[in-house]
Amino acid sequence: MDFTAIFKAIGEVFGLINNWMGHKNTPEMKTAQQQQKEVDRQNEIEKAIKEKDIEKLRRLLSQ
Amino acid sequence: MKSFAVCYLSSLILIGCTTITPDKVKDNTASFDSTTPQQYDLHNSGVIGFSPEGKGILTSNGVERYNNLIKDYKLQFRAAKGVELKENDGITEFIDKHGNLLFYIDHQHLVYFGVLNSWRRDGKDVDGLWDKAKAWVK
Repeated sequence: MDFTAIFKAIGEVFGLINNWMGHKNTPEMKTAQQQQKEVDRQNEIEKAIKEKDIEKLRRLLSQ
Repeated sequence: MKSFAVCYLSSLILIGCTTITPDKVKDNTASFDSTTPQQYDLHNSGVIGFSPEGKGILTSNGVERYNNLIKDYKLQFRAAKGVELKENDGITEFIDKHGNLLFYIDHQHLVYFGVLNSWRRDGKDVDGLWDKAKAWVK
């Protein structure tokens, strides 16, 4: 059994995961994710106010 | 060699299994407000309801929270949204049909209130020296 090939394959899989996670966590990506979250949240608040959804607004404004 | 391989694979599996992040806690109830007049529901997060024109109606505690949030995040809010907020912006007093002193908050400032509150709930740091320095340079 060729363990070297198995280890190499496992290493490559972890390398791919690392690249993917690393890409996901670059400062630019983090900033973009944060900005998107902020926009989504503001839209949610505006929607609750527009629809006069008092329960939802109270949840959003709870401490 | 076999035991080494088992050991190596086990450690890889364990490394992959050690990071467990808990689910984010989501509030599903409004917070209690002791300054709410007796005619209204006390669990209101400081918001009594809406006026016919679509303005929000706040309790005095709601206004106080709004003003405290402005105080805490004024500089960061200006940097992020390009809006300079001052205490009581968008707020007007009125007396309701029961004779209670309540406050209107206009649509735009109610949105700002929500944004600032979400920052607080996220644990965002309040304005610090660095924010003051950046504001001073601008």
